[in-house]
Amino acid sequence: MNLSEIHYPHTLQELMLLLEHERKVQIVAAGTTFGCIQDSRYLSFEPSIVYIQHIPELSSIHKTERMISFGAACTLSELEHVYPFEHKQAKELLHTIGTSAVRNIATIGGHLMYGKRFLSLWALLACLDAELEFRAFSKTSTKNIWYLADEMGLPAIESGRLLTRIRIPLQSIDYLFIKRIGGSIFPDGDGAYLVSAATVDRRLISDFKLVIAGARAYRNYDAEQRIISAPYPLPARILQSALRMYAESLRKSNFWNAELLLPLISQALEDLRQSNT
Amino acid sequence: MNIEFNLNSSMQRVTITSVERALDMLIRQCDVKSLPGTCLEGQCGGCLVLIDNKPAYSCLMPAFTLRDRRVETIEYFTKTREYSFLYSELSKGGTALCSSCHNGIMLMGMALLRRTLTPARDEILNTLANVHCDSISPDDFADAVLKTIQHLAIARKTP
Repeated sequence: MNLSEIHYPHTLQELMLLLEHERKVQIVAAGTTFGCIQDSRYLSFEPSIVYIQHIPELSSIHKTERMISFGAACTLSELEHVYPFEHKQAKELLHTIGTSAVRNIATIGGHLMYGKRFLSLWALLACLDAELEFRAFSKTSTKNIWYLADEMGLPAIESGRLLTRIRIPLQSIDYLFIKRIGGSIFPDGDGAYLVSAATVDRRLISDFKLVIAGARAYRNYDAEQRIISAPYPLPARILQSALRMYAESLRKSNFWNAELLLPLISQALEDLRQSNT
Repeated sequence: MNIEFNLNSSMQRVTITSVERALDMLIRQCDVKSLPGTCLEGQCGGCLVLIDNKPAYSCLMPAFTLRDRRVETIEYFTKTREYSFLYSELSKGGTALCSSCHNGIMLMGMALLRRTLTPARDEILNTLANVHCDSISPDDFADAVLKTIQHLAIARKTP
C-alpha cells in the first residue's frame, strides 16, 4: 500500500507549475475510474496526485456562435443539456454510462483520457470533429480527437500533457445513427460503438462521418468522401460503392469483424437513403 | 493529510491518506452508521450519499476528493417531514425495504423531493435506477413519492 502526496491546485497556473516540477504525477478529476477498476479496498496511485476539480477553468462550459467548449473536469451530468447531448440519441448514449450517481461525479476528461480503450462517447465526439486543448508548461496545443489514436487505431495517450478543454463545432445534426456492438465497454469488455452522423444542406449530404470505437478506433475517409456531396436521399449506387469500400478496409484491418459490422454499416447508410430530413 | 468538509451541516476535519475510499473514511472517521458494506463497484447503491446535493457512490470516490464538499447521508433527513411521509407511504404500499438498500432508496427519495415537487414519473423511476434492489417495485416507489408530494402540499397549507 503506497501512499501518495496529494496536491490541490486552485488555478491552471498552479497546476502547470506542479506538473513541471513533479515527475510521476497522476491527474485526478473525480477518481471514479480508479475507484471502479481497482477492486481492492485500498486505492493505488502514482507517488504524487494532482486533484483538479477545484480549478474553475476546467469546469466551465462556453458556447459561441460556432462552437461549444467544455472543461475537462465537467461532469457527464453537466453535459446532459448542452450540444450535442441535447440531441435525443446522443443523450440516450450519455445515459448508458453508469447511473446518474456515476455521471454526477465522472468527468468528460477522465472519460476521454482512459487510455486503455475508447469509451462510450468517443465515437460520437469523433463524428462531430471534437478538438482537444492540451496544455504543457510552456505551450498550449489543440488537436483533433483522433490524436488520441495511433495509426493502428489503438489508444495513444501522450504523458506530460494535460487535457484542459474539449471543443465541438456547432453543426446541424440532421441524421445520427448509434449502435452498440458486443459486450461491456468499460473497463475492458469487447464492446464498441458504431456512430454515424450526417448534415444535409439543400438536398446534398454536406458532411458525413462513420466511426467505430472500442478497443480500437476505425474510420474510412475514402468511403466518407464518396458519400459527401452526394444527393440526399443517398442514391443506391453510391451506397453500394461506399459499402464496398468499407468491406475492403475492414477485411484488410485484420481486427474488425467485417461480417458483423457490414450489416450495421449498411443499415446506417440505408437509413440515410430513406430518412426524411 | 487533513481535509475539511461539511457533513450533514457540520464541519468535519479528518486525516486522510490517498488510498482511502470516501465510503471508508465516512464510516471510520465520521461514524456514519447508514453506510453498509458495499460492492465497491458502484452497482448496489448501498454507499449512496449526496455530494453538493447530487447523488454519488462514495465507494467509487477517493476520500481526498471530498475536500471542501458538502456531503449528506440519510441521517440528515431522518427527522424531516419528507422522510416520515415517504417512509409511511412505502410501508402502507406493503413495501418492506431490505436493510442494505433502505438508506439508498430513502436518500434517493429525499434528493428528488429536494430538487423538485413536480417530478415526472420517468424522473422518479430514473432516480431509483441508482439503487440495485429487488425488494421494491419502481412503480410502488413512484406512487409513494407522488403521494408524499401530496402530503407535503397539504402540510404546507395547514397552519
